[in-house]
Amino acid sequence: MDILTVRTVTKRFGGLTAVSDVNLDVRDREIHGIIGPNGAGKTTLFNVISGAYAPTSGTVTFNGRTINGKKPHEIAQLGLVRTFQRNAMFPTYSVLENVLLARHLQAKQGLFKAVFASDRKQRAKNLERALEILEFMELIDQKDTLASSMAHGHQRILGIANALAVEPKLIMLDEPVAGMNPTETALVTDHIRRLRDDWGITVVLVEHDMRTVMGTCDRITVLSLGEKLMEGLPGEVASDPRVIEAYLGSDEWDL
Amino acid sequence: MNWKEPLLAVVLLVAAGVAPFTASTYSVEVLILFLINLILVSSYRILTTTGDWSLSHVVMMGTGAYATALLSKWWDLPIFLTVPLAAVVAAVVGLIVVTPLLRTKGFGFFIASFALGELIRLSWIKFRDPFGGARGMIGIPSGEMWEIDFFEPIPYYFFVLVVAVASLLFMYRLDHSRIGKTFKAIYTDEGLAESLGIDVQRFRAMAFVTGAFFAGIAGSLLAHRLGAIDPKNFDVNTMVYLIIWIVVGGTSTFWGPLIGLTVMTIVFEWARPLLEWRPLLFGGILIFFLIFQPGGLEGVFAQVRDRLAARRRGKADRTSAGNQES
Repeated sequence: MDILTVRTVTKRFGGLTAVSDVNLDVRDREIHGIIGPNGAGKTTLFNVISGAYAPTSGTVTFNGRTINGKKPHEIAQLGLVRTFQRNAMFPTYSVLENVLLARHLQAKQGLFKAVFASDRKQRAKNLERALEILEFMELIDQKDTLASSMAHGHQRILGIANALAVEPKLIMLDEPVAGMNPTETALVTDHIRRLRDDWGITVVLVEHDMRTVMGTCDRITVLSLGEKLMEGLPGEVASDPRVIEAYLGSDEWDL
Repeated sequence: MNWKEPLLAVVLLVAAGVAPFTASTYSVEVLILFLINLILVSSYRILTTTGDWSLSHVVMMGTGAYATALLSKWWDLPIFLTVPLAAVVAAVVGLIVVTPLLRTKGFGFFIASFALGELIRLSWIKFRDPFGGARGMIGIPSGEMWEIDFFEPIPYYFFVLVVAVASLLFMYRLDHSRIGKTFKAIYTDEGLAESLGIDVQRFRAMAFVTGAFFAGIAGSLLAHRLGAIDPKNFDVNTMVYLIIWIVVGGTSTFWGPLIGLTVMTIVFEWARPLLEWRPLLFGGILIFFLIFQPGGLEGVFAQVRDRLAARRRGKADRTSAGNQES
């Protein structure tokens, strides 16, 4: 079953067509990679799906609902949560406070209820869940560390932990291993796999690093110059002459 | 909440209860204005926690003041109705003002909020009926409750004290609630907050409208005290004072703006003999804080506390080391 369906999506900025007529099917509980050289339209597609841009034409369906045209926070509330290429977290809070804050942000209550009602029960529940998430992401030993003083790799993992506080069905990761050394990369990809294996979360991965994509993803969609080049298993993609041709001469791609 | 904050609150309340009986009539008037300004700075801090430093906030206060004048004049409403109704009017005007402002942020928000505030303020001058033009409105009753005339400073002082304590309590709870946390999350990283499912615009509007509501209360209390208001009361000069109070105090905790207002009120009274040099002094203080202590006085307190804690820890380490030796 497909959890995320992108149908004939086009996004134009003035005269420039960043994404042209792209189709994408992400199956439930798979790790789906989106790759392509610079300017292929990966980030634009990512932003269309997460709601930052409305598509010029085409539809995006998530979990049976049309989400194109919805705002980013509405899409997040439906269970499609994105992370950022930058180290996005709340830097002046500790690790535990980060996830707790992300949990607090989920509560739906009005001004007066928030001010007058005692929510001890909800707080206890949030704490329990936050600790569970930190345990799962292996950040529990650092729970009292200030987020801004963590190592780069761990900050990215904290970004994923914050996203998990929303209880997503699908998580979209924007270049999760950018700027990481091999040890950090292995750590992060291991966590990505466990998101799917242990918690059943579908993962969409936009990534530059080919080795990570090939080793982690179940299926891969290749974009080039705003169009979909092909879709397939990692092995098929790596050996496809069109893909090789698209990247030939581009030194960032060591296939 | 730790035990120190309630204790401090009790001490302050007792002091506030005794103060008017030991002070001159003039000092009681100063204290009344101080309490009104406490509500105003605290309401402004709500906006600043989302990062929206509006320049129209004293105009929201003025809206409350004008609403009070009109409600008293037209319907002769008693003070326990004019104050909450004026606050509601200010909140509604706040909602109308913030709706277009949500399309801006940062510097754009700054300028646009100033422009919209001036638009409202100038309309009080332009529409002589009902706002009284540049001369403003006079004859606002000082109000009474249970046969007690609020023209007398001490009864009015206690009325304002009760309203101020209730308002501050509400704003304190708001600051520590999940909504207060959401405001700060938006300020820290808007994109991240949005990705975690936060309707950023809705919460920015909520902060602005809540701030306008309490500014309206402050304006209403001011109108009843002064008996006469004019557009000059709520011009950019007053706004600059509000900004000085909050910059001197700092905005990262609930107490910062209150500390800033307290210190600057003392400085203001102390500098009374300086007359026309006073704005220069205040400008100098503002620039000093922006350059050398951007965290405000509350930042100084935090630094002192950290240093004391470090020293105490150092001592404890030494004693425990000594114990081990013996």
